[in-house]
Amino acid sequence: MRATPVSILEGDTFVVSDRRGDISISPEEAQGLFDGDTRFLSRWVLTVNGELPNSLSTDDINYFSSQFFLVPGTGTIYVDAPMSIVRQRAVGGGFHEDLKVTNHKAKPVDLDIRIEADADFADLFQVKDADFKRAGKFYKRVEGNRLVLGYQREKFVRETWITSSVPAEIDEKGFAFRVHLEPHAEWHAGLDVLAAVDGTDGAKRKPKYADVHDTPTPNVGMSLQRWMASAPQMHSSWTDLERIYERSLIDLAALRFFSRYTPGEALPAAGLPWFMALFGRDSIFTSFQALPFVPELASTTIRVLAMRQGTRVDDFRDEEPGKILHEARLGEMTAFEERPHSPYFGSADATPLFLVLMDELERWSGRHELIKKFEAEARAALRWIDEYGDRDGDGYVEYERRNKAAGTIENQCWKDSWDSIVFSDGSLAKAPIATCEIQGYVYDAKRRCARLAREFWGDSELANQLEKEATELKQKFNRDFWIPEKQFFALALDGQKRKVDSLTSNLGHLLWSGIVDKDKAEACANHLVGPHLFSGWGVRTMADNEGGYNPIGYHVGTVWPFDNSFVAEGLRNYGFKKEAARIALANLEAARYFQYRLPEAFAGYSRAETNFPVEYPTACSPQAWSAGASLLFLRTFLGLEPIGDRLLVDPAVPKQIEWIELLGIPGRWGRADAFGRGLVDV
Amino acid sequence: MPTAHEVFQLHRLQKFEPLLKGVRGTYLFEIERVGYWFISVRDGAISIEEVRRDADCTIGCDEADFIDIIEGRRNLITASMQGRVKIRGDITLAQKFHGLVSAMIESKKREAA
Repeated sequence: MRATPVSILEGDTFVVSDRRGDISISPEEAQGLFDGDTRFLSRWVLTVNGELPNSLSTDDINYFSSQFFLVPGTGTIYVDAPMSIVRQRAVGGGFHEDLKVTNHKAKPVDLDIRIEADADFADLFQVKDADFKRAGKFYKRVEGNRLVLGYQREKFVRETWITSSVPAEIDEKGFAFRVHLEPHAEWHAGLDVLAAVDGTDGAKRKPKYADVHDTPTPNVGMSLQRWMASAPQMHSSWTDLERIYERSLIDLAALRFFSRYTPGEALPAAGLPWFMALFGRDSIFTSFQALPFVPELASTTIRVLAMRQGTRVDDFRDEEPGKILHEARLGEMTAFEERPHSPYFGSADATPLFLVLMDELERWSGRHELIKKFEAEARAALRWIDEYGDRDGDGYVEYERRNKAAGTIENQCWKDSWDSIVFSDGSLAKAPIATCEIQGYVYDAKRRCARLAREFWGDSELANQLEKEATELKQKFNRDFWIPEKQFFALALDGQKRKVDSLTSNLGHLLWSGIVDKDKAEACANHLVGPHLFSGWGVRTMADNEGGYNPIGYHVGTVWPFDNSFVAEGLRNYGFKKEAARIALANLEAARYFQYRLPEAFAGYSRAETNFPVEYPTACSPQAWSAGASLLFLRTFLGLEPIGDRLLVDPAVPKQIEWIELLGIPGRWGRADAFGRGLVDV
Repeated sequence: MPTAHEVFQLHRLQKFEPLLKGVRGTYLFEIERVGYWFISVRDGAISIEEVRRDADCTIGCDEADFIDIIEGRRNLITASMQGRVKIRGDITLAQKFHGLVSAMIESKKREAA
């Protein structure tokens, strides 16, 4: 079994290394120093007298720093080591590494310490696909005390600049230090590795942190300490919940970054390692989850997505006027239009969700100036729903990608893997596909925008029209998507308007959107906590008795905490407090097995079968909307809802948690407190 | 293929472009070995001067890339990512430049018609 890699991050810069702190390319592991979707180091290997040291221990000091305790030797049978080696690393714009070697013996020692360095400047897409064909040229040079590793394709230049704080022999392969250590003496060296874009350092002369013990300053315009202090204080009789809460807030701070598309506007990246980029859907969901806790996320998300809203019909990028982007990347393949991510618009749900978030932000914060400022963008998004989203005029938003090249997305909904939309017999649905939850989001967006139009845009005609359209959509949806013999809503309508009849967690999103007729809600709730969807750790993406079910299938059987948080909130919205609390508690209990950090997804095996939640092999961790899930679960437990200028608190806390206290919830009321006692028998 | 001088000359007389309604700011175009053009956009009203002046957003590139962008053959964002175009200052305004390009192309089409 391979050792868990060590990952540290700061914005869109991150390092993945082995347990020694070394970086090397292997088919199994995507290691490296990554910045702006490019790998700036693909080799970083420490040897002492020609040997790789062994790892004794590895610690994450902070989200951006780690330390590695090493000793020489084979490590097969431990004998007292004659020396110890400590590497401390802090990432940000590159990384800084402190190397300390201590001689524990009574005799002096001479050492040949080497750091081998190399960079393949691979685009993250190439790393992911293990495809390393390159169109440009590599070069290396030594400039005084600096080693420069470079790559150039036309005017596209990426360089890695490496310097040492102590004299070294530098060649194109790395750094060599001849070290003489007296008995019990120490030797130190500091190494700076800078990711230089276009062959310049920009404003960066040094990596962000010069020491692993520096004060963390995430991209939030404040220190981590202040960021944590600005969020509500959470106390609970269940101390695990406090740890999960703290972990979530730190992860959300760590995942914020300044995209080069949006300087000055920090917003959450989706997740480490593959999704350290701007994603429309992920940013929106995360911002929604975090609104009662760190409302700044929602306003930056709206501003950034509005700024990059689609303006034209562009088949390559799946762009249309008014559409909200799916994903923005910065690597070589995107720059040379070998991938369409500049940005790519391949999601059909981000646009209505953008509108939902706008309204939700105003409800919580009272920030109506944003609603007025982005009226034109909101109207453009509404037009997209009707003019482009509804491709065939049947009243539903459906998707079919126009760019079918590699790396584009077939299923443009949150379950975006190729096999996620399947019939009960396991056969694939064919495009154009109208998934059920997107219709729910559209319903919710129109209802919410009716309020915005009436209260802030002074357009009662639009408000009336949107309300009429939302009402008609709800009626039509409850007729066309409902499967009476199965008592649940179809996952989707396929290209031939057939009901895709698999039972899935999407029912919860429908409840969250409010599109479900009251007389159908109980059946949905029963399915969501029933034996086929509920694993004991959470709601599976697909029921275990479906033809497409796979407990370790990305969107066809795993449990996604983010998904569950909206399922629970949806149940709560329809009055199913007990069921909501049960799902929230199960997920939070699972977090204890993941170092109090909910991963992107975990396997759908039954709790009774495994007793612990089984990891999903390539799950991102941390991931923004999983960090946000625990926040939304807290909102669900406490029943937090803005009503005008007041905060309604209506707790439904499970008995397993004696009490929860949330102090200083920010909103249009200033700050408010909430308390919930565990009275619900789940 | 037109020159940068011809492109700016063509648009110098244009006083208003509806596609740029809502955009307010100033641009300086630095066309390598050709010259500098200062463009002020105020809610759709445009003025162009051949002068080097501090602007909210500076866009620098060679003449061939500039013409490719203006004529819609090259995307400003990916050109910037490729290192063909250097953008300094307010990048939001540079992104609005997409609108400016569209306006210029539309204007050209109208003139041709």
